Formats: sequence, C-alpha cells, structure tokens
Amino acid sequence: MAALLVHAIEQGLAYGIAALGVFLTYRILKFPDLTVDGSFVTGAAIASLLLVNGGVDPFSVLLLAFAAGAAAGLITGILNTRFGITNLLAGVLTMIMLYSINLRIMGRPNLSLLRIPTALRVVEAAWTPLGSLAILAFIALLTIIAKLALDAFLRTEIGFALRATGDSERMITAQGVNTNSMKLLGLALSNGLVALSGALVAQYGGFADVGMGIGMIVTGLAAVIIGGSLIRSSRVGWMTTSVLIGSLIYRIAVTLALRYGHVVGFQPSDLKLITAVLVVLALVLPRIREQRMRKVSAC
Amino acid sequence: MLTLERISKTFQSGADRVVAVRAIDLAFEQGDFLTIIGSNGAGKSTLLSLIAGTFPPTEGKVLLGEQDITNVPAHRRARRIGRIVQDPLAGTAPSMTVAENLALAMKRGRRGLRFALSRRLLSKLRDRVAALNVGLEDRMDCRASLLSGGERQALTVLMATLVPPEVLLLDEHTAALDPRNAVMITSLTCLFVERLHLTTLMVTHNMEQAIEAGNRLIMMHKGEIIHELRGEQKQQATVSELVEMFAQHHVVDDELLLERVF
Repeated sequence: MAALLVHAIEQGLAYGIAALGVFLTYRILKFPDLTVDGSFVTGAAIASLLLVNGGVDPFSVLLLAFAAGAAAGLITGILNTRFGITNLLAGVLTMIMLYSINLRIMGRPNLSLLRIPTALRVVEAAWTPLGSLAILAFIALLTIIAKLALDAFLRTEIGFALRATGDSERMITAQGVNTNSMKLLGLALSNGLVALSGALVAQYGGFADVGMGIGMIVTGLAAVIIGGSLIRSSRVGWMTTSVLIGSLIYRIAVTLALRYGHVVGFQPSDLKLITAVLVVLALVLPRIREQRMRKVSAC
Repeated sequence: MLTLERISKTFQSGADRVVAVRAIDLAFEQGDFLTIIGSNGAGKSTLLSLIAGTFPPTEGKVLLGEQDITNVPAHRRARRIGRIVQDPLAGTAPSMTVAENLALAMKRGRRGLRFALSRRLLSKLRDRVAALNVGLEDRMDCRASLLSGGERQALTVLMATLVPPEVLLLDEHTAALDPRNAVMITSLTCLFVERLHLTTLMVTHNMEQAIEAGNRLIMMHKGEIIHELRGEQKQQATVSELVEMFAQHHVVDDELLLERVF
C-alpha cells in the first residue's frame, strides 16, 4: 500500500508539470489549448529517442524536450494569432500534425527505455543514501523548480502583461502590449512544460508511446479544477500550488480506482470516461448553481 | 503636435457602406483640450479610434510630433497615447490587484524580466493612489473586479496618466457612471490634464461639460465637423446656442433633446 502511494505521488508530481502548463493557458491566458495531447508525446518521443541513441546526457534531454514542446506551442500560436484560426481549432490542428511528427521522431509507435541510463536511473544510482526515495526526491525537485520558475516569471513585467492579456486584451493593448506576442509566449512556455512532463513520464514508465498523450488536456484540467476548488486564491504562488495538489489528488484517486475499481464494476479502460465526466461536472455544477441563484433573485 | 490630415474612415459590410469620418483636418498644440459633441453616429468615437490606431483610416494621415503614425499598430501607439473608454470594466485587468494594475501602467514601453512590483514601487504607487482621495490606498491588494464602477474608472484615470502620455483620449468616460461618480471622475480628469498639461480630446454627450472643460470644442455630424469654437468664443457659448446650431443642421436626435433637459 505504501509503495502504491509513493508511485501515485511520483506520478502526480510528474504529471503535475503538465498540469502547470495547462494552468498557464487555460487559467491565465484563457486559451483552451488542445496542443498538449500532442506536445506531451513530443516531449516523451524526443527524450526517448535521444536516450536510446545515446550521446546526450540525460538531463540535457529534459531541456531539449522542453524546447521541442515550446516549438509545438508556437505552431498553435501562429495558427491562431497570425492566421486567425480559432483557439480550439488551432490546437486540434497542431495536435493532429504532432501525431504524425511524433511517429516520425520515434520511427515506430513506441520506444522502450529498458536498460537505458535515463535521468531517473542516473539519479537512483547517485543518490544512494535516499534509497528507494531517490526517484521521488528527484521528481519532486524538478516539479518544484518548474513551479517556482513559473511563479517568478508571472511576477515579472512580462509575466504581468501575460496575465493581463488573459484578463482583458483591450485593456492591455491600451497599456502598450502586443497581445499576440503574449499568446505566443504563453503557448510556448505551456507546451514546453507539458513536453518536459512527457519526457519525465516516459522515463518513469520506461517507454514512450504515440498514444500516451490522449486526454492530456482533460487530465490537466482535472488537476487545475480540483486544485482550484480546494484552494481559492488569486495569488500566483497559491494558484500553482493548488494545481500541483490537484494533480496529486487526481493521481491518487486514479491509482485507487485502478486498484479497487473492480469492486464497483469499473474496468481500467473506463478511466478516461470517468475523468472526463468528472471534469464536465466540475465545469457545469457552478453554472447550474449560478442559474439557480439568478432565478431566486429574479423573483 | 498631433495633426490629422484629411482623415476618412469608411466601414464596409457587404453592400452597405457607412462613411463614419469624412476628410477631417485637425491640428493640436501641446496642452490643447478639445471637447467633441455630436449626435449618435456622428463619428466621434471613430475619430478617437483612428488616433489610437484601433483600425487604419481609409484615407488621410495621423501625425504625432514629426512622426507619421498612420500605420503604427495600436499597442505601439499606446506608449504615447492614453485612452479611457466608457466601460469602467475595460480599463483595468479584473483578476489583478489595484497595485498590479498600476504596475502594468508604469510600463508603457519596454517590459523585461525584472519583477514588476518591488516594495519601493508599491509604496510609491500607494502615495499616488492616496492623492486620488477615493480610499483606494488601503485596498492595494484588492482585485480590480471587486471595485465599484466609479473606483475602477478612477483607477483607470490614474493608470492612463501615471506615465504622462503625449495625447489623452477620453471617450465618454463618465457616461456609464452615476451622477456623483461622473462628477468625481470629471474633476479628477481635469485635475490631471491641467497639472500635466496634457493634450486631450474628450467625447461627451453632456453639452454643459463640453462647454466648461477645455479650450476648444467641435461639433460633429455625419462624419464631419459642422462647427468649431475656440477660446473666448467657447467660454461664452451656452447650451441653448449649441442646440440651436445642431437644429440648423437638421440634427433632430432624441438623445440631444434629452441632454438639454439636464
């Protein structure tokens, strides 16, 4: 049971980085970005390919995955800002492009990392005093660095401009900001984080698979929404903390559901359906409550 | 310093063409304060949008100082031109705090990776807010969405003048407020405009306000300037005179008549 929990926490943190990316687009930029289903795999694919081929140290691989994801985000951004394609469609188009690109990168539908010196294996061998907790410590460290870096960025002058872009484009244009540049920047950072998460998850699971990103946007949203309902704050630091907590809770719930779900008749394959339905409920319930309140006040 | 040269704007939607602004020439000296009145659809807001760069003119030029800014995008012009619109919600970022909004306004030009809100800046901003006398200095950490319409518009006025712009555009910026707040925002605006000696254009429906504020007045109808008053001529004008002038141009507008009552 304890081992199961540790696994859930490790995964929750690794996927948490992707959730931070989804948070940046969905919550801050108010841009529902579906690119993430593809860029998550791009990160995993690039990292796996480089690790299998060797020659690049496993930590630089993580940075390269980030860069690849950022490039994917830029494609969506350019489709949206330069060519005027709506945000949802721009994301879907990039996601579909990435499906083929990811297959090209890997050369086949999946790549195994069996017996490859991944970042996690290097850390496990180096941080022996921590024993079996070395991997957890490394993933936690990486996630916290990503969170703190994002927090710091959102407190800079450019970060302020990015937040205001999501709030009111008209207002921030009047303050001398090019909102298109802000969208490009936000999408690049967001998908960079998502790809970094993909690279980490691939190393954790020991493989990259072309289908591993399906539903990433919903998983990310689940973390953002769960976290946001537990910690209500408009302070950036608290918001990103809430996202990571949301991701942890989601992953623990998934682990328990996969372990004990059969008791109530669920199969592992039902997971995405259940997640999506939960996200729908989380999105719809506040609206229904609001409508009811309005009806009452109308009387 | 600001010059409009035969500027025109035609909106086209399918087969319909609407000439919103028709070959207008206007030149401003530093510190000029022009009020603009006219019926609905006279082209007042379009004129301001052409100066702000919201859309390009169909014909004509906009010059600021020595520079032709006709093709400069709105966000780049915003470094030199401030604009306040009617909707009090449009001038501030709702999910950001009063202090954060002001920090945004401190940076009209280049933005970098420095932290946007230092302790020193915060205390400096608090002093500036305190000078408004609307009690916002105690609510620096309050989100803008929680402020009242009057408070938000006061914040917007401060944001537009925090770094003095070369030109300030006021687009009926008190029209959505209750009378008490409208008076407060008007006096606040006039205070800043006078103190900073700002070149200002103000669109208003309130003819009394149009006569009282500023040193120049234009009356617009169907995209053209139908009358212009300056200096002493303007000071001595009365509301009934203005209404009569509109009537000479066959402007029979319900809204115009309504304003006369007040």
